This record gives sequence, C-alpha cells and structure tokens, in this order.
Amino acid sequence: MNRMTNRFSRGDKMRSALRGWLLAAAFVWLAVVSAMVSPISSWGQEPVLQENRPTLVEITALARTKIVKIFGAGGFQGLEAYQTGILISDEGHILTAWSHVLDADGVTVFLHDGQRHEATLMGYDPRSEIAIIKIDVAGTPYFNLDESNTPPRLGDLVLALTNLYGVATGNEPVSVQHGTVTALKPVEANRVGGRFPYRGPVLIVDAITSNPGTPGGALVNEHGELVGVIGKDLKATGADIWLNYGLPINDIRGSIDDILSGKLVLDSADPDRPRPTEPMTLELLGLRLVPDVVGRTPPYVDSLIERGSAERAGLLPDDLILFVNDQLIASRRQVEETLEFLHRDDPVSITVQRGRETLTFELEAGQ
Amino acid sequence: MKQLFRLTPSVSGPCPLRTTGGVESRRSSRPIVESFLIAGLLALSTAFAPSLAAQDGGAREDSVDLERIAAIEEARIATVLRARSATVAVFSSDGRGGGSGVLLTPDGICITNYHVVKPCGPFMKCGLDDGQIYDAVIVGIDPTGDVAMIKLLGRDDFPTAELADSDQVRIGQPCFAIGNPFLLATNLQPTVTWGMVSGTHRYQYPAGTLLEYTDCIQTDASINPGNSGGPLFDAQGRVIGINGRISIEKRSRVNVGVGYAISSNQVRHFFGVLSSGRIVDHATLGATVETGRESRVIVDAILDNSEAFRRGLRYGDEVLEFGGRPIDTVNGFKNILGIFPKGWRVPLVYSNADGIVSTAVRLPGLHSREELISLVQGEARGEPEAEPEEPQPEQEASPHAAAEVPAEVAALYEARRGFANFHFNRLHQERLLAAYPTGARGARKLFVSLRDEEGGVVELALGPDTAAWRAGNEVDFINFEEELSNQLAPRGTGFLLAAYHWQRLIAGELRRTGEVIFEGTAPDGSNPDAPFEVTHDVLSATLESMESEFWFRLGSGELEAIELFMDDRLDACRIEFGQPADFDGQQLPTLWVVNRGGQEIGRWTVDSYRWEDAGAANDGEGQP
Repeated sequence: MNRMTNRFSRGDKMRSALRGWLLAAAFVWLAVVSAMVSPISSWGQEPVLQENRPTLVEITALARTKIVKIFGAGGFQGLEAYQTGILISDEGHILTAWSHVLDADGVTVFLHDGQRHEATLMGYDPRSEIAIIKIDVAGTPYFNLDESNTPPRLGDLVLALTNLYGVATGNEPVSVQHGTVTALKPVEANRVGGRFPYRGPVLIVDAITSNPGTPGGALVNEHGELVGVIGKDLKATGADIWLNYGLPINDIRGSIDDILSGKLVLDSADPDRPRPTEPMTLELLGLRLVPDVVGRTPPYVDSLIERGSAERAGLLPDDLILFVNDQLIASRRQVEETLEFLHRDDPVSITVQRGRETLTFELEAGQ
Repeated sequence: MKQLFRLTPSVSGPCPLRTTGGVESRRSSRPIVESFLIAGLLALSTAFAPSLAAQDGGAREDSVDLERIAAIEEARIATVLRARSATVAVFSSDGRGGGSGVLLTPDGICITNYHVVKPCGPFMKCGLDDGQIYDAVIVGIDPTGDVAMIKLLGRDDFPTAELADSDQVRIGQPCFAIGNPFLLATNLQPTVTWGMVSGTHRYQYPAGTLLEYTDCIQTDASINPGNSGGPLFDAQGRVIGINGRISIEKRSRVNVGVGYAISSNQVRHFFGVLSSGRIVDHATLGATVETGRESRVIVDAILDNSEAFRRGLRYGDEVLEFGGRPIDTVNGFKNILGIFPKGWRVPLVYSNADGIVSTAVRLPGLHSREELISLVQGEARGEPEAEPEEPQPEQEASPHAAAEVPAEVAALYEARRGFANFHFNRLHQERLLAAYPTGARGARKLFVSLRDEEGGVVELALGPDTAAWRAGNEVDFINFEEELSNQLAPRGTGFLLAAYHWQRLIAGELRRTGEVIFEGTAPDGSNPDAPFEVTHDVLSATLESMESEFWFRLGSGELEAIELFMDDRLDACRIEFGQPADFDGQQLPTLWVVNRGGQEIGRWTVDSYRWEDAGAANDGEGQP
C-alpha cells in the first residue's frame, strides 16, 4: 500500500482516498459476509462453510444439561412457584435469581436428567439480586466461569435457556429461544416490591425472555459460553415495558465470589437469643424506610429525620441498605429485626448502595 | 372436480374480504413481497451470526465464498417461496374470522386447526399466494386434537407441502412459520416468521373441556392470532407441525416467544381418519398412570373391561414402553397416547412381579360417540369455553352478509349427526364396497369348506339368516330369533358371527345388518420399521349391539380382515384373509387365520366356496 500511495501524485490523492475507502468498505463487507458464514453452517442441512463449528442444535444440547428447574414458594397472586438455575460447579452450586421462589423451606431442583434434589440457600447479593443455592451432587455438567469469559458485544447471538411457563417438568428439556444482544447498558426499572437496585450495565436481548419461570435462566453465546443470567421480571420506568435482559456474568463475578466465600450469607443466629431491654430503633437513628408493603420490601431510605444521626452522617433518601453492622439485609423488616438485637447505646454501621457506589456510615442513637 | 370453483372479485361479485383491503390485489405484489422476504432473510442470517468482533482475520479470509453464500441464500428464498405457495389463508364465508392452513395433496386437502373452522360452518373461503380465492368445504374434525381437514375446490394441481417426521426434529434447529397473523393477508400474501425449535414432546394440559395438545413442538418463531392452523416448517420447507397455541400471560394476546405446534406425526396418524368426514376421537389406554420412585411410571387405575387389563396390565405395574417409546414420565405417556386415533392397536411393554410383558393393545376412545357429538354441538352453539392459550381466529367485522355458496360446492356437503361432512364418508363407503354389489347373491347361502393343517375339515353355511358350523361331530349354529351377542359359537370365540358378518359384506348386504361407517385408515403394525404407517382402510358395521371392522388393504382395496367386537369385556374375534383367488367371478380368500387377543386360534385353507339359493341345489361352486 505504502509503495503504491507514494507513487501517486497530489492529483491522485483524491482517487487514492476513494480507493482506500472502497477497500475498507470491501473489507467490512467481507467481514459481514464472513460473519454470516458460521450461522449458515448452524442451519445443519445446508453446505457447511466453516468446518468444525458446533451447530445450534449441538450447543443447545450441551448447554441444557447445565440448566436446572427450581421449584419453591409462590403459586399465588400471580407469583410463580418456579424458576430456572444454572450449574456453576460440579459440586452442585447453582446460580439463580434472588426471588420469592427461594423463600420456601424446601426448594426443589430438577437436573436435566430428572434427578430431584433439595437445595439449600448459600447466600445472595441484594445489589445484583442473584443468589446461589447448593445441592448435594458431584460430577454434574456445569458452566466453568473461569473459562468462559468472552465479553458479550452488541450483535452477538444469544440463546436463552429457561424453565419458561414451567412447560418442562422432570427430565423434559428446558426451552431455548434465540436472540441478539441489542444493548449493553444500565437500566432504570422496577420489579415486584420496588426499584431494581442493580446499577451496572445489563444485556438487553431481542428474544422474549421476560416470561414466567425464566428468572435464573442462562444467556449462552454461540460458543456455548455463559454470558448472562436472566434476572427477575423488570419493567422499565418511563417506557413501561417489560425488559428482556440478563446480568452479564463478567460483571457479577464479584457477587458470585462473595457468596461462595461466605461474605453474603443470611442471618443464621438464633432468633431466641437474648435481646437488649432497650434496643435500637429506626427512629433513634433518624431513619424512615419505605413502607413495608410486600413480603420482602427492599430497605430503601424513604426520608430522614431532620438533624437526626442518619442525616448528619450523610445518608440520603433512596439509599438502599445492604448491611447493618456485618449482617446482610434482605428486607425492610430485617432491618428492624436486626436492630432489635442491638443496644441503643452502641454505634451502628450501615452500608448502603447509592447509584453504583457502596458507602458505609457510622450512626448512633440521637437524643 | 374438473370444474373451476375459483372465485375472483370479477366473477363472485362483492367479496366480504374486500372490507379488509381485500382481494383487489390480484395485481401481483410479489416483487415487493420478495424483497421484504430477502431483507428478512438477511436480517435473520445476521441474527444467527456471531459478532463481527468475534471473527478473527484468518477465519474471515478463509471462509469467504460469496457465490456460495449467494447460492445458499437463493436456495433458502426458493424454499420459503415453495412453502409459502402451499400455505392457505382460511376465512369464514362471512369474512368475520379466519386463520391459516396448509395444503397436503394436489386435489386440495388442507389441514388446519379445529378452532379455526369451528366458527365457519361447513364452507369457507381460502386464499393462496397466487392471489386467488378458492371455495372450501369441511371434511373432518378432531376437536380433542384441535385439527380439522378441509378441501379446497377448483384445481387438481394445488401446490403442496410434505409432512416431515416430527420425531426427528431437534431442539435448536431452525424453523419458520407461514400464515395469516392478525388476518394481515388481505392481499392473500402470507407472513413468514423465523425462529428455532424451543422444545419437543411438550405436553400442554387441556384448556376447557376437549382440547389437549400432546407431544407438540415449541417454537420461538412468532406465532400470533391468525397463524392458527398454519404450518411450521423445517429449514427444508417440510411441515413439522401445525401452529395452534401460544403461551400468553401479562402481555395480552400476542406472541411472547412461546408457540406450540401440533406434531406432523400426529397429523399423519389422523390424516386418513379425518378424511372419513367424521368427528374423530382420540384414545385412552383404559388405564391411568402416576410417577413412582426413580422415574418409574406406575399404573394407578385400570378398567377391568379394557383390553389392557385382558393383556394382563394391573394396578401397580410399571409401564416401560408405549407406542414404541420408552416411558419415564407421566407426560411422556400422555404425549404418546395423544397422537393416536381411537381404535389403533399400539405396542405396550410393562413389567410386573413376574417379569416383562410385551403386548399390543387396541386403544378405546377417549369419549363415547354421544359425548363427542354433544361436546361439539355444545361448542357450535357458542357455549362459553375456557381456551385461554389459544390464538383465536381473528375477528373482523364485515358489513356484508354471508356469501352465497355455489351449488357445486354445496353438493359436496351432507349433514349427518356425528359427522363433520357425511358426503366424504359416503364416497369412501362407495369406493370400498364397489366390489361387493347388492344383487343376486344377497338372498343366497354361502357354503365354505375349510381344512386345517392336520386335515381336519370345517364346514360353514352362511346366509341372510343362517350361520352354522360343523367340524366332525361338532355342530353349532346361530339362532336369529334370539340376541346374537349371546351366541358366541363355537366355544365362545364369536368366530361364527364374524364369518356371518363377512358373508353379509361379500353378498352385498352389509348395510342390512346395521349402520356402516368408513372409519379411516389404520396400521396393521406388520412393518416393524414403521409400525404406525397406515396399511388399511377400515369400514365398520354394526350387528345388533356388536360392531365389526372390515380391513381393506390400501392400494389394492383387497379385504384382508374382519374383526368382530362382541362386548367390551371380551377380546374381539379377528379373521385374517389371504391368498385370494377367483371363485365364480368373485375374488375370495383361500386362507383364513383366526385370532383372539393376539393368539391364533384357527388356521385353515379353503377347499371350496359354494353359493346356493335357499332350497336350491348347487349354484356356482368353485374350486380355487
């Protein structure tokens, strides 16, 4: 190219620029065309232009062995008692959405081959609203998160594997839908019980994944790698539409690792342990939380008592309480329950999520 | 059929469909449609493409073959166009409702959903992508399976689609639906939507009283109201299913990426049954199952008058295989049960304390005949029915009154209780009975001399009111003054009555014994590689409280068996006929094999047939 360009006189510059543009355009065309090559091979019956690529049938067949059906609480008020889960270890660690389904005493999991197991909750992350449950198995197929970390991009093919509508039971295969990653950005949205707390970018797809039973489902790329986990039903604020989305696996690795390492576990202390005669209260801290309207109302700060401890420490309305001292908080009610075991003379550390930040404040009872 | 019933606006006057934009568009819009199609295909290709960034440079250059890609695209477009030409837009005659369908034979046999034709009455208008509207008439309905057969009129060279083997469909494979969503095809150009197979062998619980989707194919191709009854194709343009249902919940009656299609194998099984013009029924085993431990499927109830019971199936036994499929869930059992018409004999493998039993069981009907009729009539009267997940035919208000049905079309419909259209049943009966005309033989007796392998001779005398048997010193006969079903000579087998009923057929007198109905086609199960490939036309005829089935070989039309059902509690008596030869100008079998409950109880060759007038001497004796 250089040699050629050098030979051109000034008058040829325009033509050479045009030629360069044409070459670039041709290159882009080739790229587009080659991008179209592998999917054609995926159609199975047609000439395979790129050898040794797994077909969508093969990718699906393998991926669905790593998906489980989860049955738990619900079945009333339009809340389904089932969702989906993703095996992320060969020891039965299952990534899923943190939802009412996991509220049951007995959460039942069906593996792809129909094996039935009772699961225990390992922990969850209120920021991303993912949870990990565990079943007692060994040697199951699973998505290796350390190996599959191709970052998803706009235009990527995705397959959604889910337990939608509960149509698959026992050993019946979960449903698969196809789509494309159409956006990768943060969303403002609501779900049952309040705002969606997650502030990171989410994968928006054009497959209709917002259906009963899909939370906890897998978004898998054309290499069969796990790229996202489908979250709870979300309705975008403003547009008022149901979002078809997944949380990017790479972005929630921290949450997953925190749960697996035991940082994000629920209160397992004895509820009958002694309580102080003069416990801490929200009012003493100068905090007003959003009204307790659903079973697990997220503990958002509604307003602050003027010149109270919380206001002076710097808390703001809309902060989402994640921890009280070191205790992971699941709901508004749990904030109050936790405070009941603290003496009003002791300082309290409160960790909140504000936007994409996590902030910790030291509070003490006001006068 | 040579006559053209093709309706165009110029010959049919005001067409109700015109209110919706209508059939004026005979000026072909095909080029535009094609360019949309191509655009859609390209979009789809990129949808299935990996991201550009994921491609490394090396692969890019190696794999580029523009001509080859263009050829593949061309082939795909050709496939879609071919599939599209066999897709039918179904409208009710008053233009108020409709759906989709698919043509399977050149003479216009089209499959659609029952719920599409239910509001139409016996006649409908059908549009093809050639821009023409054709009259159509109802043929048969399957209210339980939500399938209907209609016949388009006016051509014997309709474009057709081929039925694929839906058991070969794989999850993740591409598919496409063609149809008339939202009744958009006012210019008769159908809509093509692509997707993939999301699930196979899905069981969908009955919605309302009748409808049950078993063993269906789930797809994320967009299926919407109006797509009902239309085809779901594989990438080669073969029909893998009939789109009929969608899951809906929070979004209203539009697609949410979850549609269900009735499997093409179910359609294939019912095809010849629907052609009978009947209201056809599904089957039961006479037993229900529940899931036991470790994916075992256990019988939790069984009727003691069922054939399954007579083949030894009992409460607590484990069902291992049914209809050739391993059974490990209750849904799996219901799936296979749902794809067979009433009356088919299906292999069953079960285990009990004594071991594993392989047998075959004739499946009784899911409903009684009266039950089925009253259910269909109840629906036809517009009684409320809960079918929440069914993409209802789109309703379009039309100011026009119902279009006149041309006389040639009206002649193809004959109302009769229990039938969707008795006209087609009559045609089949006439075809099958043409070889047995009513005539001189009607009043005569037939003497049959049979010889078993050890040389034992059995003689039969069969006539209008005669049925007698002699084997050595043993003599038995039917007394026609008394209830026939109590006279199961010889030795409780019912053989003599079966032989008598057979004589009535070959004497051309079958209709005198009772109601005759063409049941449809059925497999004799003789081909282990294709146990459900239909082999025979089956005609039934009543004999007092009993009923016989007459089995005619497809193609040759040869009568190969009669099976007499004496009582629900008893095994039927089946006589299989073979090696026909000419006797006095009539083809009659020279081999008789008698079976009951899967056991052979007699095998004879024919020494002679002799027709005799009542009281007269020899008349037309014949040796083979």
